[in-house]
Amino acid sequence: LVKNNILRAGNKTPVWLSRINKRRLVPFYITLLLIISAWLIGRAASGHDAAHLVYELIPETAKVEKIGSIFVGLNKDGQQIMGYAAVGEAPGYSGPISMMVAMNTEGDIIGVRIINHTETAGFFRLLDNQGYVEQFLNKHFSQLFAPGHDLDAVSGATISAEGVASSARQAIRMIAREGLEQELPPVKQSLQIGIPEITLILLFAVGYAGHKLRSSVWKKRIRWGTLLTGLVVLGFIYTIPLTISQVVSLLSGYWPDFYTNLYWYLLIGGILFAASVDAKNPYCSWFCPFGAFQECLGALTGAKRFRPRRWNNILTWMQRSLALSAILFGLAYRNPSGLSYEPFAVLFDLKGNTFQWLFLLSILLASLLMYRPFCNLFCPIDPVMAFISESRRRIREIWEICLNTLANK
Amino acid sequence: MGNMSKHPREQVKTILFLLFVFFNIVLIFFIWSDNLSERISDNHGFFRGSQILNVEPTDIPVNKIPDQNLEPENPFTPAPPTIKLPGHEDYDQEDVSQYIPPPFYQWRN
Repeated sequence: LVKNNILRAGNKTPVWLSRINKRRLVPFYITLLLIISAWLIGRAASGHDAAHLVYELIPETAKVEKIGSIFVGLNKDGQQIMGYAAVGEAPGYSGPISMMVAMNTEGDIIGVRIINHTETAGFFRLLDNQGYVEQFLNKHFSQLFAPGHDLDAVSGATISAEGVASSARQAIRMIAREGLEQELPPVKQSLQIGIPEITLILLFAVGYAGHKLRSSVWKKRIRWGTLLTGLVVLGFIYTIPLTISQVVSLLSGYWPDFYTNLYWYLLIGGILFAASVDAKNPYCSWFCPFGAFQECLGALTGAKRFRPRRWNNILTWMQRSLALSAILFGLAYRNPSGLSYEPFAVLFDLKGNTFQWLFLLSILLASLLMYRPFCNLFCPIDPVMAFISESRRRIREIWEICLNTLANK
Repeated sequence: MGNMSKHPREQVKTILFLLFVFFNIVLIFFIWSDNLSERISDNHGFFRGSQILNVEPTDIPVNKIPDQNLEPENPFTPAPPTIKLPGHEDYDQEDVSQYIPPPFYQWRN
């Protein structure tokens, strides 16, 4: 088996070095190199010097010194502490939110400032408009700092609001522990499993098993069942489809809290597991909510797949270029949603600008004429899955070559 | 790449298809441009180095002490004893320890 797979008859040249495979290897390794470079650029450019903000947040500060993980604002002669400041960081919707909190020596918050975030600008502006950040001022460090409790929640930007609150809580705890020498009780965490998590696990299981079904009639019926479930539950009710932002977040290391975001781990983990172990992608064909919506429209008119053969290569590379641009940009600037363009939020949450609405309208109209136009032409997830599949093939080949070498010895 | 179909109907379909693709590519570029310009104009943390919001550069030199030179303990005057700690009227230890952020899917962003 190993010889048949790896060695060409006669000259014993490994297949992976053959001319045909070289054509596939070059773009694969160039892509890999670009992704690694973008990741390194993003890594090198990350971080921020927030010390100068302490002067603004703590009045009458003439000197700032860093003690452990907090900043201490001192008066002119450096003998009196004017206040403390610290930077907290917590995951938002599409990356971490960093926030500096300043406190006086009595434990009251006297200044707050968002240092860095990668949230979608439109959503984050909602926080600004509602004066969300200003709510922290004059509160005592021992308070809860939770949206919906002692902070007004922000409708439409709740993940960002919780991210800001969470980063503030982290900074407050640092100051309390290291500056005020007070210990707050630890926050208890419990794994949260709800309808989306259970639905997702079931959809993965049914989708994975459905791939293996022999009866095409039952396969079709079950597939329509999973598609409609995905459309209603993951699409319209919870609006939690897989997006390129989540892929970039994964690569950037912006992983959300496991206890409260189990869905994210199940979705990403389930897809990676299915794609790497069995080269199957149950998500796209079995329960992607946007794919399901396009398919429903196509079913109304009996739309069929359309892709001129002459343009096949160009269209494939166009789709890959769009996905690669979004990933490289997101990694280099550590901004996962910087170049995302999927119209999911527009359809399921009815939120978007003019261009996003036009894009959605164009896709939906085209869905009446051809099978899943977005998935086949523009979706960035498809090239990502193709890349995972290619990586899997490369790893398997290298593994088999190693085995073969060992067997020959 | 093969030859384009000689059938006029197929040719028209292909041309319309390519127009559709081109139109959507243009829209994607506009979406990107809109997204990026919004972030830049809001100065909302797009490019690193200009990420600090609503902050004017300060003339006061920053006195940063490298971590390795720091003394292990806070050498400054400790906080005055007037701190309102767990006895503070807003302080509720049970609430603080019980608070669990809402899960991802309950947050409509």
